[in-house]
Amino acid sequence: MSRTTRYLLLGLILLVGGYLAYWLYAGRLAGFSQTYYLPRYSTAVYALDGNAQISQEFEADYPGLHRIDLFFQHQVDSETASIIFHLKNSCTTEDTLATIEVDYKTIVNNQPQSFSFPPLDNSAGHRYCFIVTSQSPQPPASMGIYSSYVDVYPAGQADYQVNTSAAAETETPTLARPYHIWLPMIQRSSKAVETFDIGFNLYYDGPVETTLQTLLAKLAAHKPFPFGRAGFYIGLTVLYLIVFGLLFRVVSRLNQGPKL
Amino acid sequence: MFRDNDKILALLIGLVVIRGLLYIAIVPPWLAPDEPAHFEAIRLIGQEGLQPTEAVYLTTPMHPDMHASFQAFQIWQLSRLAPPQDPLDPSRPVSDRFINYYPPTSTGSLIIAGNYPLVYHRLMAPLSALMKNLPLISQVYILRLASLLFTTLTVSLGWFLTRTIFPTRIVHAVGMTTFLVFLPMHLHVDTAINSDVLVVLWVSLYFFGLAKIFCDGLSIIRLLVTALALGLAIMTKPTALFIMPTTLVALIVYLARRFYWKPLWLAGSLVMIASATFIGSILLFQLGEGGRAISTLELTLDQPAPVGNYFSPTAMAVYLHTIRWGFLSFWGLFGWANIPVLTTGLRAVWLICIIIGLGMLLFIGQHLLQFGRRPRTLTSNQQDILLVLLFSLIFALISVYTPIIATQSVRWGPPSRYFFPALLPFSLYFFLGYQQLIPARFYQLTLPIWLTAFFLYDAYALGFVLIPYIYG
Repeated sequence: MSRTTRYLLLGLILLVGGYLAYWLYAGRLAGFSQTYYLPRYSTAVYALDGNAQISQEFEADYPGLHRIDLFFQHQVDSETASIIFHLKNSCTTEDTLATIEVDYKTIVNNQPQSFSFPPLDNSAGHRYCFIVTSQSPQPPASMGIYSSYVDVYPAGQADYQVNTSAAAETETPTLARPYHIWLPMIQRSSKAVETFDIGFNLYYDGPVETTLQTLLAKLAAHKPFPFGRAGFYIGLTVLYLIVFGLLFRVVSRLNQGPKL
Repeated sequence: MFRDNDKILALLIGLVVIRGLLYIAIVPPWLAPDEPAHFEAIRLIGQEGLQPTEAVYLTTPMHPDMHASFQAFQIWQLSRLAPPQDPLDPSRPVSDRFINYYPPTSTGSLIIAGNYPLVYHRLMAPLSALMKNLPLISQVYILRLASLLFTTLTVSLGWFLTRTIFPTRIVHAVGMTTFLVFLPMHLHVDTAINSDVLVVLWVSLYFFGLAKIFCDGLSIIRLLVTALALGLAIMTKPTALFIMPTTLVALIVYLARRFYWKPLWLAGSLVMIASATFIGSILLFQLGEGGRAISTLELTLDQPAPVGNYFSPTAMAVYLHTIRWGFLSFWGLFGWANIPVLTTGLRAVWLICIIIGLGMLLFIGQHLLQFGRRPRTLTSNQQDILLVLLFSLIFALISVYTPIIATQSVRWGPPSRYFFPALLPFSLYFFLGYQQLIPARFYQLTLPIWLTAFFLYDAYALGFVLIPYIYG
């Protein structure tokens, strides 16, 4: 290897190393998300009309929670109607972390509808609640939200309050027929109907350092020694890079002989 | 001081162990293909002293911690399936019988004695018996470590196979073994609890024995080892059946060289064997239970299943779908075949593979068949064993795809792991094809580019697909 190549390589390593160090301490790590919307789970549609509301408790696993996707189905459309989304620390508190309004007309059936807000940097391990209602100056208007009939999300549950306004008809959960046939194993019971979950996806964009710490803790959770230690993953990764580097070095210097 | 040979082999073995541990650690228990079914069969034999028959599955409770461990690792959620839990008490399973818990929800199959060869399960049963008192999850990880041991032996055999064929060219051994070490699906499947890992090892030993016979000469020991590996492989899993016609080809090629057959005679014989294998394989699936009947020695002939036109648009759509699915599952379809690596870049990988495939054709034409090339670049022994390996690849493809042609159904998949027993010849030819594409001027960069490409691809699979999907 010539001297110039060596210096170039050294410069490249320094640049990459510097960027990684900056990224680790000052950057943010997007790309982590948790999917709780599954077609096979989301077999019920709860109607949001009048003063009906639906809420879901959940626990964020990573820092930097900044987006929640929900899934809707148009029922009775109205030009002026909208969906109101509130994010709170708990379903019973008055304080709201974020409030987002989305017009009915921007919602596409069964496509993820994003509700984005500034990242909550210490969201890892915290419990939250989102409440969704419908608002319409000219009733009737109704939007359905996809949910399950059973407890599919263990870290929290949903709660549905039916429309009690005078003009409203009592809505019961209706089936989203395309997915109904995929649930042969689930037996409905009175208790099962009470415990259900909304289909939702969570998205994170948190500080790199705390995100990686959370990731390591999740990697190690429930596993036996040594797989249950966060240090095992760091050590193995470092060892992997060292052995790969050594192999690369040996192979680069290998005299490969004439081409076959 | 170590020579380059020992140094590189030690580093490659070190890498496969480290990478195997990484895959074992990252992929949660039960999330590898059919892992729960294989584990339960081993547990029944080793810990309960029972043969895994349907009656036993119906009467014997599964391990009491199985549902809790599925819940702890969110296996049903990761697999996008509704958890088979008691509607009134989610901490309890819908049934404590494995037959009512796992297969109905996952569409996974049970390992049933009589229908399935149990060589792998019987081999692992004593280990399972020894760990009876350990927590369930520890048992899973110890069985996975045993798989890693088998995979390390496979990689070592791959190295020695190539060193036997190309004793003066270390570059081929490095290139081929690197493929085995870095292919993400190989590490994913073959570090899990699955009979695939053992069959890949036996078939690798078989190929190594063949290479020794062709390149270093026939001996009783080599013949015995090769025959033993052949028998064990066939008994372990039907996916190894392709080595039966491969053995016939090896015999023909050996005799042709020994008795100076005319090239046309040899070519005619090989084409006849390939055609007979293709038609025979289709008939095997139309008249019986396919290769499984041969592995379990319970061959019964039925009325041929009615199939439509083999060339109809529907049939073509089925073939195309299975080719696409097989390709995807070879390059990365993790978990219960529901975590794809390539959602957007699939066309680029197709393109690269097609170009390397052209390189393979170039190698076969120029070096193996010596079209328009004088002097010869390969010895007769090298030509013979490479020809045998090439036919083994053809037979492996036949064995994977003829069930689909025969039944015109996608129920056979085929997942790429059915092709993994042919991984040694495939990786060697894939590297030879790639090597043909590198201009002589840049030949020194052949291995660094190869190594870097695989490292980056694997890093992408782990860092941008598997980890965010499972732990995101």
